[in-house]
Amino acid sequence: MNQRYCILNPNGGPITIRISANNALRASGNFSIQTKSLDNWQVTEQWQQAAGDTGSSDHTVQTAPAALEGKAFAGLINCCALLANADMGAVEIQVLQNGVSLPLTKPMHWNLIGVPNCNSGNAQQFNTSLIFLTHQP
Amino acid sequence: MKKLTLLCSAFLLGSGALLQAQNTPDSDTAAYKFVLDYDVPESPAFTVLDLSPSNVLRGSAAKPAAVNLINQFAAGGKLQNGVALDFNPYFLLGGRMKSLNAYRQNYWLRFAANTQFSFATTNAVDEPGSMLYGTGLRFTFLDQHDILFDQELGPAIDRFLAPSQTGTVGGSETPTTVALGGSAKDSIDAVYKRVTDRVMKKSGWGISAGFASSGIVYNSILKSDSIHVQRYMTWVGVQYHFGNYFTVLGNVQGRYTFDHAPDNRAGIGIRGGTSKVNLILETVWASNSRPVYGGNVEVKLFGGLKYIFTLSTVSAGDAYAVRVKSSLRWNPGRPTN
Repeated sequence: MNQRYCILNPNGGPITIRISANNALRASGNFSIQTKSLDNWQVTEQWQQAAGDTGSSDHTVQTAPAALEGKAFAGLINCCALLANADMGAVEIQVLQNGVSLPLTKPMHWNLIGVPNCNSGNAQQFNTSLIFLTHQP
Repeated sequence: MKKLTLLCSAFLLGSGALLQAQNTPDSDTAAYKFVLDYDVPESPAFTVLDLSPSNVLRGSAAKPAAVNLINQFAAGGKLQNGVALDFNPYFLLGGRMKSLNAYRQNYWLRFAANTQFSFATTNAVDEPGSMLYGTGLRFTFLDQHDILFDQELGPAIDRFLAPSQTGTVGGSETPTTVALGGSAKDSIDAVYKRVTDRVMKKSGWGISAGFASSGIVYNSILKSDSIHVQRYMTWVGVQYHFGNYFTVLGNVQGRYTFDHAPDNRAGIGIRGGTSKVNLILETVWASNSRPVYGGNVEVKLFGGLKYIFTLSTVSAGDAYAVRVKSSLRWNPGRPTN
């Protein structure tokens, strides 16, 4: 298990999470900010977000950047294919601050194949997470 | 009492007409259906081989299957029996689209996304050891009942698709296929039904076309001198749907072989009605036979009971005969039918 880290500026603007999906894939996730308490992660902020008809959507994290040090971002995402012929595509999650993508130690990018049709009752599901670290430039 | 009178009348009328039907050259009991199939086949390669596409490899299976097939071609190898493929060439060759909105706004992207390629092989019964193959393309030029243009569909699916739980920190990120929960699946099914019903209440055009060819590979060896094309088929289908009521359909079909005269057909039909009465009317012109005129009226009575009245022409030498059928159908399993 390689944990993913994201370095942000504690004095910068709010953190934005962007989810993108191409080929008209529907990608809809349940995301959260979690804080470690003893050995468990506790959800402190939670939202649902989908790539939508435009293929991309943004959500602004309510927790202030300075308070994100050591906290985790996690999401569980379900994908399905709206176009019967397009059962493959890519889903990506970006973390932005002041409109600029923040560096990640491992990209949050998935190339999906065999994505079930949305009317099949099935979906392709994957989990993702990262831990925030702060660094003042 | 009114229903009983109606039932008795229909039964008497039906009995008389059935007697009449027994004197016609063809007295099969099936109700009249369209002589011409107005839908351009989804898989032209299967149609040109007279095969059922039930074993078509779709979706994710198409890509590896196609790659295997290409490898066999490239190696000049022997084809396996019964290969059946049905896929979209645009996506298979790496084509991508940004989003659903791009699909809605770009006609050529939509055209590419809805183009279907099919390929099928089967054993040649008359030539032991040889193989028949069919290839086909299906194009959709216009579909004004494409549910992907509905503004509710995508956001509603997103709402029910979202997992009820959030992710776990450090959990596996490998995608896996999961079954959606009962309520999510039911909700998405309901969205599709609602959107489809709404779209079908709008008037609009649909235009599609297909082309297919079939041939034989002697001894199943893929070499240029062992492959012989035997048949070509083309279809053009046009339909206009009048919202709640009628659909007017037109279709031109051509079938060309090297050892027979071309068999060209053109037809126009009307299909539609209300929740109680359905009507089908059609005229078909064929290059190798006399025109066929026909139609039927299907009336839903009560308790799963239907009354069907059919008229169609059949050739009787140099003249026409009219075939009349009348029947009652009862399906106790579907009382609201």
